[in-house]
Amino acid sequence: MTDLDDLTLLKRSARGDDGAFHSLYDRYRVPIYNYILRLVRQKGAAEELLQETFLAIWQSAAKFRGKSSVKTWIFRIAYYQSISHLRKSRDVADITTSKIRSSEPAPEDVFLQNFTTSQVLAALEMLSPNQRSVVELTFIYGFSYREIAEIMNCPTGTVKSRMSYALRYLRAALRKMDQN
Amino acid sequence: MKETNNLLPWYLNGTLDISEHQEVEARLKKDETAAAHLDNLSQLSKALHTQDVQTPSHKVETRLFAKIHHEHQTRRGGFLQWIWSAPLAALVFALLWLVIQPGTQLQWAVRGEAAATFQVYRAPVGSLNFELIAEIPAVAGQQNYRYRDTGIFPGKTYHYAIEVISQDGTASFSPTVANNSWETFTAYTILFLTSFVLTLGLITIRQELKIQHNRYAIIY
Repeated sequence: MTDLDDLTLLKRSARGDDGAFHSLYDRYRVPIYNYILRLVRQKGAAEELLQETFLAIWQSAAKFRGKSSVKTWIFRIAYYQSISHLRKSRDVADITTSKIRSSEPAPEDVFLQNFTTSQVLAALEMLSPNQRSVVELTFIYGFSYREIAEIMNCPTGTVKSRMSYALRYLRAALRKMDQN
Repeated sequence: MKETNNLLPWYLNGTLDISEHQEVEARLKKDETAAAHLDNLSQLSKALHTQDVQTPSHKVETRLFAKIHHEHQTRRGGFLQWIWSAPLAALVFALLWLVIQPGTQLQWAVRGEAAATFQVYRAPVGSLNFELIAEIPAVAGQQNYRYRDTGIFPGKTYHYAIEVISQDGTASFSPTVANNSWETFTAYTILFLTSFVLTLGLITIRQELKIQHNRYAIIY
């Protein structure tokens, strides 16, 4: 069953085929878990949200209309679950780079190759969940900006501006690290 | 120009359409800043790919499939519940019917007559076609008798007459009396409603017990 495509597995899941749903779970559990974990940053919460995401997938499998790919749809559910969780626990709008917001605009000549990977990863931790989501979905999961707009339920212009702000904050954070 | 720069992350991950791709390529050829920006993005992408890939614990899978199994059972239970509700309702109705016995109660008394048998006749109102519905033997020393007619249509009026057959074989008829049609109708309405409520109650209790059982089953 592992060689079947996502859509076939989802359709079979909708008919109550637990084996098909298990295959879908096996295929996506690691990428979805890591995506959620990087947004919520707590293992316990990420596991809980992973479970809720797949439960929602199982419950609404029959409602999937194929307007997007199954992968996009699954990430959309995971994103929704994560943001809902963050909204309950704290204000998403506040989870931004407050430490670097007050700094001067980052110069365009800050080159990432001048920094260690751990420094870049530390700077990534300072991004807001929405900015981090755009970055992760683009570079790790290989989504187009149109697909990201579907996942995050926002206009494509918002996706591009979030990416732009994410990169700007990243440079500013790295510059600040360098100064320190 | 800025718009083209904004497309660089997706140029890098290869998801732009042909026209956007060509637009970015043209820009990269003539703009060194854009090329440097692309290098930065490439570094960022490499850094992101060095992140540890975590694996969720096995407990997530156990809990998820326990929940799914539970929902499966609830759905199946919901369907079976409706299959079983009809015979259950019929059983409750039958038991209540035996207790309440909705119908018309006839009462009469005898004084000093040596009655042997009472024959009860019934006819729908407007008809003289009386039919024998019961034969009740007289009991020595007993004066008051009663008979409940349950074989009538609720809400319909009937006429009743009792023929007294004495021990010497002579017979005499009582005057005819009419029943109260609303009495039977009300009794049947109460019977139906009570049966419905009791059946619903029994199903709910059964579901609650099942849910409690499943709650224990999915404790992990």
